[in-house]
Parts: sequence; C-alpha cells; structure tokens
Amino acid sequence: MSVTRTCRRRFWLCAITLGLAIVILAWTCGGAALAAAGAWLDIGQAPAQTDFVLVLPGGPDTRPYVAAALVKAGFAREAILLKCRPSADDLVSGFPQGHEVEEKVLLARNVPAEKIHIVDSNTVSTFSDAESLQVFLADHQDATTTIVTNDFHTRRARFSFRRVFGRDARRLYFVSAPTDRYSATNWWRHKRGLKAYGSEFLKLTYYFLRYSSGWMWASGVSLVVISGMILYRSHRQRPTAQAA
Amino acid sequence: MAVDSPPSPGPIAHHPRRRRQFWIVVVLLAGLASLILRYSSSLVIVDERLPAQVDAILLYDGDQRHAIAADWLASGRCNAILLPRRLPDRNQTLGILEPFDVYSRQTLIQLGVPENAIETLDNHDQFGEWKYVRLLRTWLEQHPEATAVVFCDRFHSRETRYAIRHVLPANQRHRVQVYALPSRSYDEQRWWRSRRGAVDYFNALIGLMYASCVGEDPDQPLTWNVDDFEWRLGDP
Repeated sequence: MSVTRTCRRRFWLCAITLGLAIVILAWTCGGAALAAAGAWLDIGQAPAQTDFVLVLPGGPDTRPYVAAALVKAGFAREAILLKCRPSADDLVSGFPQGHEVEEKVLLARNVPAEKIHIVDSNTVSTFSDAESLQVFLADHQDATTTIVTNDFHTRRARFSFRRVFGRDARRLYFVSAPTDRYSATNWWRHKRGLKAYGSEFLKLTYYFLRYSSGWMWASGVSLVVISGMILYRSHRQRPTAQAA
Repeated sequence: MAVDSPPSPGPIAHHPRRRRQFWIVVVLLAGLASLILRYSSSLVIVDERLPAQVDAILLYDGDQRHAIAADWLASGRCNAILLPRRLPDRNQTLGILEPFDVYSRQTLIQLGVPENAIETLDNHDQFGEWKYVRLLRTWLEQHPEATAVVFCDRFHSRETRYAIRHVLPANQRHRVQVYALPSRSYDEQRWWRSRRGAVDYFNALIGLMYASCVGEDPDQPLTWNVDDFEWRLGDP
C-alpha cells in the first residue's frame, strides 16, 4: 500500500474520530459550554449607592422596573432616561417612544416625576448612549451612576462606557436586569433567547472590532501573526520528520 | 530494487496543489461574497403575487404597514383591516400600556380609515407565537369565501408563510397571501452594510431555523417577579 493512501486513511480516521469526539462532547457538555458563554456576557455588580441610575434604552418591560426598585430602595437619587432616534416607522406607528414607555413604568412604580430626567439625546447604539451620559454628567462633576441593562448586555455596555469615559468609568456601576422566560442557563432552548444572546455575540464582536483601542488591536494582530508562524513552522517541519 | 524505484510522491507532493486550490476557493469566495450575501436574503424572504382585490388585510408587522393598508382600503383594493391582539408583555399585563392593536387602530383612524372597517381579532383560548395565524383561521372559518393578505416584515416573510402552512388547513392556505414589506432603514440587497439590517437578517434567520427545527415558540408565562425583586432589594 502506498504512503499516500496510508496517510489519507490516517487523515480520514483522525478526522472522523475528531468529528465524533466533537459531536459527543457537544452532546454531553454543549449545555455547559453555552451556559458558560451566556454567563460570560453578564458582568453585573451588586447595587451600590450612587447619585443616578441610567436606564439603557431597550427592554422596556424589565430595565425600568429594576431602575425604579433601585430608586425606591435608596440606591440612587434620580433616574435618567435617554431619547433614542426613532425609525421612520416608529414615528407613524402610534406606539409610544422608548423613553415614554420607561417614564410610564417609573411613574407606575411610584418613582416621583421630579426624580426622572429625560435627556434630549438622539442615541442609536450603546456607544452613543455612553456619549449621551457623558454629556449629561458634564454638569454633574464627580456624580456616580448605576447603569441598568439586561444581563446579557452588560459586558458590551461596560466595554462601550469604558471606551467613552476612560478613567472616569470608575464612577459607573453596572446592574443586571433579569430577562423573562430565558436566562444564561437555558437561552439556547428558547427562540427569544437565541435571538437575544445570538445577536449579542454578533454585536459584541462588531464592537470589539470597531471600538477597540490601539493596544487591543496590536495584541490581536500579534496573536494572529504568532499563531500563523507556529502553524507555518509546524507545517514546514513535517516533511523532515517523515523523512527521518 | 526499492532504492532505484522512483520516490513515492507522498502527501507532501500534493500540498502545493492543495494550497493553490485552497487559495482559489478563498479568492472565489471573497470575490463572490457580495453576491452570496445578496442572494442569502432570499432564504428568509418570500415574494408572492398579490391579488388585485382582497377581502381583508391582516396587519401584523412591517414598515409603513398602516399607510399601505389605509391606501388599499381607500382605493377599494380591500374591504377590511384585521388587527390581531398580540400576547401581552409585562407593561400591558400591569395596565401601564394599551395592547398594540389599540395604537394601531388609532394610527389607522388618523390616516382616514373608518372605524367600522377595522376589526380586532382576539380569543383568550389562543396562545403561542403563531396566535395571529390561529385568529386568522377562525376569521376565515367565519367568512368561508373570503381572502386575506398578511402584512409582515420582509425578512420575516418566509417564517410567516411557514406559520401559515402549519396552522391553516389545506383548504384555507390558498386564500391567504403574504405581503413582505421592505424596510426603509436599509437596503435589503445590501443588508450586511447596515447594523440594523445585519441584526434583522440574523434574527430572521434564527427565527426561521427555530421554526423549521423546533416549531412554534410556546407562550410561556413571565418568570421574573418585580414585587419580589423590589422587596428583596429593599430588605437585604
């Protein structure tokens, strides 16, 4: 039997074994891996005493409830809401804008109207939310803020706010709002969970590529180059080993 | 003798050719990426021939759905607009917000649609993600000769058609068409160039795959108790 055929057989044997191992591993530990990936997104902290609580736009049936609870429990003095840039359809659909819904929730949960600030922003993304808060806090030097968002969104939110605030990000705290029907432990079993977590991983990748600092890019490129060199070297060394 | 025989080419001899093939595939994929992405939108979109005259529009989703429905009604292309009541979220359950169809009704009336041409479909026995199709089934049973067009978001049109095929009996399916309304926020032919387009496409693909592999998303109760959360926060 020629060397070529033997090698090809070995290759297919290895490939099939590896494929089977991956399938078995995914079957048995897949849930644990996905749960770990989901939990990785949540960097939420325990509530701390702050001056403001910011409700990040989105999740109007969870986030403002957490913010209201924080104000009522004395963890924050006032709540901040951001105005988002509405889409063309939002303007004519008749449905209240996001900040209007959030305000209704806060009022319904007995947060006094004078404790609610609506920032006249025009946000379109988590990054522009951070920029809007920075503008608002320019008039409130040394004020601390709790940022409330859904658990799966906290990592991207922290990344964005750190990029915008730099060293001032020490004044920010992140509190996770839970989600209904699914969580980090079972998101892949629910359609809404798949959409929420799936698109979050997509957005997080985009944010890392789009907003990462120079040193993060440099380390990423170095990692790719070093991996490429290692692969290339091992590839080049293979004929010598076989010849020996 | 083995020494004189020509050396076996071995696996290494194939590498340059394989490498060339690999790079050809990479270059081809890169060159055709735009084309592949453009045609990938057809995975989630269905374009159906719309009838010149229809009895009712089921207003479910999609950009400019209210304005287009009002136009159809004004021009006599349809006779009624059906608003399916969606499953309530927490804000609606607690009475903080009205159901979605109430806002839709107000918008339609502002666009000049007479109130008697709008019908809200609701039934407390119907649950699940495809409740709107079940409500339409009931309406079709009550109107045996009637036809309908479902207005939906363009990227969710194939999923909508999938739901119709699974919920409606065979004798009703041909009476319902899907109108896939395009979004003005991005060009569907270049959806990957816009953040919103990419997220919409991704969600539509997940939705379609979930429907194909698992079926309908069940209607599950709200799991988070707000009062309990407040109580625990206030009383550590």
